[in-house]
Amino acid sequence: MLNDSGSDLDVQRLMHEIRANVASRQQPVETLPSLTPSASQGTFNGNNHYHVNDLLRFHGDEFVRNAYRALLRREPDEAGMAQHLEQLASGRFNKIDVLASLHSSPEGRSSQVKLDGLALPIAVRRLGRLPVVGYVVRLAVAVTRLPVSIQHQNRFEFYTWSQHRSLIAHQDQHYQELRDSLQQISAQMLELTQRTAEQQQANELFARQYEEALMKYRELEIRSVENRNLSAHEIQRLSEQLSAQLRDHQQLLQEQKAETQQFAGQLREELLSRQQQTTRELLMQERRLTVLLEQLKHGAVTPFTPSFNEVANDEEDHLLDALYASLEDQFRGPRDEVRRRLQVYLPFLKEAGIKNGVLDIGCGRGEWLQLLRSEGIEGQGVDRNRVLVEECRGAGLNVVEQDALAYLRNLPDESFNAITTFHLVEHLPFETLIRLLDEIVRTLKPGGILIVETPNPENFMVGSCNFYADPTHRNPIPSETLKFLIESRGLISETVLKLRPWDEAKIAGDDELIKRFNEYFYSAPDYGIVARKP
Amino acid sequence: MFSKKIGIVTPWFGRFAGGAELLARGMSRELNKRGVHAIVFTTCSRSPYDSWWQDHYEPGVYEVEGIETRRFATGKVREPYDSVISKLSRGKSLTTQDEENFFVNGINSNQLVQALGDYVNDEYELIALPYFHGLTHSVINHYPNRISLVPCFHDEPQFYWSATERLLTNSKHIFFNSPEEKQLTIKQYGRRVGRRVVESVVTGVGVELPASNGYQAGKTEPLPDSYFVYAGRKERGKNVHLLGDWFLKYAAQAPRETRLVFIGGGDESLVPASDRFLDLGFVSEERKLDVIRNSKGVINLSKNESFSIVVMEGWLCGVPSVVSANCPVTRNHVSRCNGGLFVSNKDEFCEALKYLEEHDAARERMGANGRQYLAREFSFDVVLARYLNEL
Repeated sequence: MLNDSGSDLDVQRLMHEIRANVASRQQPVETLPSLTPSASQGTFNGNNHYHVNDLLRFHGDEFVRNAYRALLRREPDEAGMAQHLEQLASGRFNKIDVLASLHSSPEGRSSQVKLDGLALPIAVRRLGRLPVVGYVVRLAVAVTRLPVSIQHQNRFEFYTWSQHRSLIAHQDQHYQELRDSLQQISAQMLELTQRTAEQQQANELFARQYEEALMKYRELEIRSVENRNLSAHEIQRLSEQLSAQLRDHQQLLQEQKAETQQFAGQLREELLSRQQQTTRELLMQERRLTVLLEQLKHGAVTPFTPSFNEVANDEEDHLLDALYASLEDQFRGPRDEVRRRLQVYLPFLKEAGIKNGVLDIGCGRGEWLQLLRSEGIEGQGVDRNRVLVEECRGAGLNVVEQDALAYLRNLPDESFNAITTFHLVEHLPFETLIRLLDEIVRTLKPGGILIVETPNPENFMVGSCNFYADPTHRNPIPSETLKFLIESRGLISETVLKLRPWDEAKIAGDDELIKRFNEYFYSAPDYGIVARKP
Repeated sequence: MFSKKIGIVTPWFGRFAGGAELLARGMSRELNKRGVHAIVFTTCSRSPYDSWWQDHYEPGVYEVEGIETRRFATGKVREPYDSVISKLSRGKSLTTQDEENFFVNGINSNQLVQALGDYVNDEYELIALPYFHGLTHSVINHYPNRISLVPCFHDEPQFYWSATERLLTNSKHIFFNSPEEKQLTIKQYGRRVGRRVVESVVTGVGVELPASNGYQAGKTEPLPDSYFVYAGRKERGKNVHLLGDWFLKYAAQAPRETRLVFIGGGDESLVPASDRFLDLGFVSEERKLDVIRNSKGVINLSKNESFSIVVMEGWLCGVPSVVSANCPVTRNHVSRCNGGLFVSNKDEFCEALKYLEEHDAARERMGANGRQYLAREFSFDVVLARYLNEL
């Protein structure tokens, strides 16, 4: 009977009990073994005198066995036993016949056992076998023996009953023994089943643990393999990453090297420039000193030689030439860049077919003259800065060191096909500018061209700040004003060029404010006017 | 808060109540309840027991139990699939092409596969199920590593086909219904598919009682005084024939007129002709739970279960389960929570039923254990959190 497991319910244990219960019901029920009759104990050993009734109380094989023991003094042989049993079974012989047969046999006679009560029955049996008479004799004997036969019958019934009881008692005893044995076996089987179930449960537990361990092992193995693969992959990735970083660093190094070289080059150029500047300064000082020494040495002043004061004043005008040359270098921009910017004016000369007779007033470092030379146009320059004039001359350019106005005044009318002046007019007082324009108009040939370029104050950054980066600038001149002045002095203004607006910096959008902002801050920083003498 | 939307791809969606379909229905319903927009992509076929190559519904957008459901026309080519089924039923070995035909020409929808392209993006997380049908293979293989898989694997021939390995390889995430299903997968595909199988999540399946508690038993067939329940399709694959045979033996020796009540469709010939069996056929969800609730236990002798919602429904109703000791999934469920008994032969079956009938306290205790187990492991809050954490 299974227990009600209550609160400590454990399905595993419960199933174990259920299985044990099932197993106990499945014990095979064996058939009872057949009972074997107990062996009859012979009591006929050693005597040599019996009465037939001593033997006639036995039946069947016990009778034959005891007859042999009593009369022949031995156990029956197999053939003898079979033969006598067969004779008894056939009804042809009765037990008296068997006893007579054994007693009268040679072996029976030689055993010398005396058997009383046998003679009469034998005689009667013999008479009974006679024809006709035998029947009467048998009938008479039968009638005579009827009381005895009835007595024998009663005894036989009792014998049979007692044998039956004995058999039942024997059977009961064996059955009891068997039942005890079976109960023992059942108990053992139950125990065995329980143990087997426990073992099975343990095996299942073990199998589950084994399976779990196997799964864990598999998982670990898979992870391990993948980690290994991952590690290899990771190492390769790191290696590639390091190589890439190395390449990047090498490239960076190259770039830094190039930058350093470039910087060194710039530094070298700057040093060279400074050296040149210093050399120029020294040369200037040397020149001044020489002039003054010469003047002192000669002492005498002639009407044709300048006085000491005149020489000193003249030299004083050039004291700042070197500084201005430096300012030019600093703020005008690199020479190549300036040359590139000035290319915008070439088409005007070419269109007018001008090949020579071009004067550049305030030629500075000579970029425009160099450009003209590269285009096959003959030009000359005039500048009052000795340092710059020396540089131009050093570059093989035709440049006169003189004040432009004084230079033009000494020239005849209509001397030039074109006169140009870049970033000069903003350095001049207004009156000087008018005079210069007048001289330009005079010295230009009819149809000749004037090109003037100056900072554009319409750009707020230029007008309010950048213009004053050069301390020698006087006033910014709006394009309308300059145009008006040029035209008022007799030239025809053909074009006003707004140069190099900073388009890429302009703020995107169509809003009016944005447009105005862009116009004020990112419009052209310079403008140029191209005019023609009628 | 999970900000993406969920798209669930499943061959059938509607009234059909297969395990995978119930899973899809429960998941989409409960996600929507929790504010995560979930929609279902399915075919126009009604169920695998109808002519699944025919469109029972018009293609289009439906609302099934409040869930947005997009139906697409099924593929109509049957012959290659039928040929494979014929070979399988005759026990013949299959070629790789046969395996391919099984999945490509089974329930499928090319239109669905193409339309799904609009949803393969960062706004949606797509999940397809189960592995047994061609549609799942088609969508996952067409968009490799973009769609997650709820395989619902069983230990059956198709599980070992090469197409299954390809499916696992192309899946974005893999969600298992039980540890046993995951172990089976690791055992077969651990080495080949790699750690993504090992590290995949066992989500389980969400199981909860329907919200409507106001069920009133209407005019229904009266139930026996003492009975056990089998709820599910009646088919040999679920060992229903064995159940009939075993229960007859139990009935012959049972102390009272105990009966076995069948719920669900399937092959009615598997129910033996005896007054000890009562076949209710299809009943409403509420009626089913009511029948289970009043029973002595739920029996499921199927050996092929990846989760067994039927067993869970028994526990939901507070009754124990009797399952096959040869089904690792159900057996372990029962063992883990002490929620029933597992049997391996007819005699154990009879003894187990006898025990449950005679021990009211133990029976109620087992049912209560099962119910606690479900609340702890398989409430929708717990299960959906496992999904969303991974996605």
